[in-house]
Amino acid sequence: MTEAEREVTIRRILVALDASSHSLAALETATWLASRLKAELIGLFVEDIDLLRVAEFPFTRQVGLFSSTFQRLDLLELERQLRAQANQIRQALTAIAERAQVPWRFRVARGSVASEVLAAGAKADLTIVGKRGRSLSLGKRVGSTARMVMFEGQGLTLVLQQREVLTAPVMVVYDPSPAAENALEAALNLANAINGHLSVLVIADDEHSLQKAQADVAERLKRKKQTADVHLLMKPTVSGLTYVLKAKGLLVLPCSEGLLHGEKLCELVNVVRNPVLLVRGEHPLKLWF
Amino acid sequence: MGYKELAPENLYHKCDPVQFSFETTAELEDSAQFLGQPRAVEALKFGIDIEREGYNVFALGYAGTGKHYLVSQFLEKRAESEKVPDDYCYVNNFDEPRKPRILCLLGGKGKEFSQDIEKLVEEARNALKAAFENEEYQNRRQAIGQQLQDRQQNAFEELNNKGRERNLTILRTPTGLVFAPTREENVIPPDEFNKLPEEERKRFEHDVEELQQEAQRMFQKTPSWERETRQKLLDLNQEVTSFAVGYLLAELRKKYEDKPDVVDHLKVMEKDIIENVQALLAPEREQEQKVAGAPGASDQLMESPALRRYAVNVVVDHSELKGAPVIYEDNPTYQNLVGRIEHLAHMGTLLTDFNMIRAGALHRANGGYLILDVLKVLTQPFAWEGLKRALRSRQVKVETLGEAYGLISTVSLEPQPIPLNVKVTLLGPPLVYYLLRYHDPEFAELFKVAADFDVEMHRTPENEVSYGQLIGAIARQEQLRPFDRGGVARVIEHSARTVGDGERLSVHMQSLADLLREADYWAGQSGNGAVTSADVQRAIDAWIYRSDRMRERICEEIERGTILIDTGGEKVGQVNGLSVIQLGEYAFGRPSRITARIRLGKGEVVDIEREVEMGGPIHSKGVLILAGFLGARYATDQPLSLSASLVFEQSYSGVEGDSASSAELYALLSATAEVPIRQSLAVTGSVNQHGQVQPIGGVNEKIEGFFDICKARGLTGEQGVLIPASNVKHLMLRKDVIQAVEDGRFHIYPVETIDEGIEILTGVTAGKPDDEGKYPSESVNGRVYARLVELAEKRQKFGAITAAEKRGQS
Repeated sequence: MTEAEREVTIRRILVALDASSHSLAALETATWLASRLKAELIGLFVEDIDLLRVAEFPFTRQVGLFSSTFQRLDLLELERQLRAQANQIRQALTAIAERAQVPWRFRVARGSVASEVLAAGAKADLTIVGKRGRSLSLGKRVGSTARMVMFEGQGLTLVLQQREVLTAPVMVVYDPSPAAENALEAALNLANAINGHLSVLVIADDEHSLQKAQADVAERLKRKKQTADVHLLMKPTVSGLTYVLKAKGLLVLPCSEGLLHGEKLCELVNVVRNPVLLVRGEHPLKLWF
Repeated sequence: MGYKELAPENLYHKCDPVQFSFETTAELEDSAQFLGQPRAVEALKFGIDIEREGYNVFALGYAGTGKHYLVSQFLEKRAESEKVPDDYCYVNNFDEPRKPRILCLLGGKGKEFSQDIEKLVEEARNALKAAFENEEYQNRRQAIGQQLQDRQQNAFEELNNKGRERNLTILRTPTGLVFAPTREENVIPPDEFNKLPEEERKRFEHDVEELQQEAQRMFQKTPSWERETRQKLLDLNQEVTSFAVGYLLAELRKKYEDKPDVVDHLKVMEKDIIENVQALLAPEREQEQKVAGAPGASDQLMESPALRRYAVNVVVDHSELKGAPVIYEDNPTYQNLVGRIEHLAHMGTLLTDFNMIRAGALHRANGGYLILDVLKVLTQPFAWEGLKRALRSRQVKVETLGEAYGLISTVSLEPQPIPLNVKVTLLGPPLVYYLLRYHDPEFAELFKVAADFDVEMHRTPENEVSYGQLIGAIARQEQLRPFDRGGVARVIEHSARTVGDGERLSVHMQSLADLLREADYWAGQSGNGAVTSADVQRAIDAWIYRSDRMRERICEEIERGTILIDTGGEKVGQVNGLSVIQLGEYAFGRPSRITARIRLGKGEVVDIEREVEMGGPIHSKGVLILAGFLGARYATDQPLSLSASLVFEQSYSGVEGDSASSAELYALLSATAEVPIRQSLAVTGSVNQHGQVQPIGGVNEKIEGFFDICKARGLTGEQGVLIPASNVKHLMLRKDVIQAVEDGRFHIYPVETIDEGIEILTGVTAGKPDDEGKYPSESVNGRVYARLVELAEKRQKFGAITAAEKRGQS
């Protein structure tokens, strides 16, 4: 592949950061992608407006997570702590981005976390969020911010779980939807980039659609001169999908309609432990690494 | 006057080759006995056999007497039939790593044990890896983790639900959490909250307070849940580890069940593995802690600190040994004797552990024998004290000098001492032995057995045959040609000459071996298949030629007249004395002119050598003795009224010994009696106060020294040497001297008394006293007596004049 053939369409990558260790993992992944795609990395820290409001109530006290003691929630002190968090994140971003030699920006916003992330994501080509953020909930359920971005986000969204980076294998679900081809294209290029094996799960509600989708996949693979394991699943359900999909590796999902949309998509992301790349839109997407 | 002189056959104790039944030494077998050292061998045997504390051996003898060889041979032969002693291994003390423990195993089993442990650790790692990667373990571990998560999750969910029921939501702060009132799932802004009815606000406050309390109670439980989880994980790990490695260790415990300390160690090791299983599984993560270049039982175990703790350091390994060890430590430094603890520099610090303990000679010889050169031990700082300490305490403690002497208090290792059971044999000169006995009280307690090595032995027909066997043995050992019986005979004769006694043989093995090697060389030069008498003689002659430059120079100066020596005519008060000069291993004789002058005096005999401090004490004693003789024989009725002075003419380097005291006396008698002494004769012999001539050393060299001068000037037939009669048995003269005596051109006179000697030297009768003690007037004694009377009268007269003059003055 020559320099001329490199066509970068992902120019801006937004990563929502808090001070959790999940964030740092997300930052590592975001930096890696920005480096490979020659994109700009934008770090976003949101000062939760709700938290600042709560500090104005005279009766609220915070319970220390480790000390389990009560402390009066002082607004000034809270703002100071939030600034400290932001600085900490900025330093981490600076270190990682400069080491990878990617252009970067850091923004601090104040408002509703989900709304701010969504708004910033509208100007980015890829938004990366953690599945749970700093929620105390240790369950697998998707946090509110990730949920809103999954529902209302545009472009590509990468939902990261735990503390992992992108690893092989790459699995893509191919349904007869407008976004499916983009999802397959993204999966093929990502599999190449991480030298991983590609698995394609073709799903459809009927036999005919299934066969057509399978043929499309075969055609695409032939044109790209790549190989992949292709599996078929008719009348798919969330539980059926989770049964088939492997526990490790990157999961690429087209999420414009059908099973992979809305609450069902949320349910699927709740259950799986993989990082999930949500691909929207039917316009051709080229990802060259 | 005919004087008794020695016949040629008295001048040499020949060894007749005909007595030997062999043609060459190739036919002879090595003797089982150690020749010429019965006393030393008996002492060695006793010292080795007796199993009591303090009975170590000191083999004392001059260098070259074969102490090391004999002791080594003796001990090695003895050790062959003794049992192989135990192996000793240092292992980690898991409770106190600073104090490594010792394990004792059967001889040769130490290495096997070390390999067993290495194998065990490898198998344990593999078993543990498999066990911890096993699905069952992973599931159980996850289940335990999940249980904690569930607990926390449930608690949080419960809190969340309660909050939701009360229209409250939980928000995370940077350091904790707070509860915020909500409406339709959105946090109520403060200004809107203030617009709510008071009852509602109060309710919110109450609910927030209640939930805060509940959150606090939940967080307070979290540490104990986490502790519980950790304990469960620990228990799980221990269970899995115990199952994975337990059977491996059980197998090993069974193998070594007859060794309780080994079994104990394995039990403790198992407990340690269980407690440190994570470190054991992840040695690769400790690459940066790798101690580079660290030696040890195996490279694998040494690579990682986590694995090093289980290694076995076999400090004493007898797997190759058959019998007890016989160790000779050639460089007996303190550390080479008692062992040392090595350290490795790593990132600016010094690291060590039990794997770095190294054995010393005492460890290696434990259960057997240790041979040391005492001079080397004494010249190494603290080595002697270290050796004594180990023997006294009957254990070997590996510690640095700094620790032993309290010089440093840096924390290092304190390895468990090893019980010591060793026989030490020190080799050294007699002087050192006696100095140690005198000055070091501990020496006598620890080295009770002295094996005294002689330098000579009796020359009997049996011993001559044994000597032949010895020559054969050395020739075989040194891969020399065999010696024919003529060669053996010549070596035996030279051996007698070396000790200066025809009735003795030298057992100085080093010089014997040198002679044999050099004779073999000359045999090779001659193309002989066996070493002959001529080859031996050539070796002797060549050695003398290499050594006698100084003798030749002195002879030249005598011939040139630089050193004044008369070999003819006669002189009053002058005699040829004889001395020996020792240069290294070579000794030669040379004549010296001794002169005596007398004058009126008060009886003092002045030894000029002594006056200028060039005479040693023995020489001075000799002069005083002859003065005593003089006084006793000639001055019982009158005072000794002479003053005499004696000197070795042209002597500028000091004189010691009394072998010339008879010559000095002859010169004095000649000077007093004014009877000349024949300068064709030389004299040697010490004299006592009774006028008896006593034996001296180096009689052969002295005779040959004067003979060479006479021969160089041309033998007149008048020349010869007076020697003490008691030295006749020591004669082993050169062939040319013997030939000259046989031809009547040189004479050797054995003398027992001064009177005999003075007669030979002056040709005048010595004279015997009559009943009144008077000597014949024409005899030497008579003339001496007459002269002393004359001097006494002069002195008396002079004394009277002096007294009168003094009276006159006053």
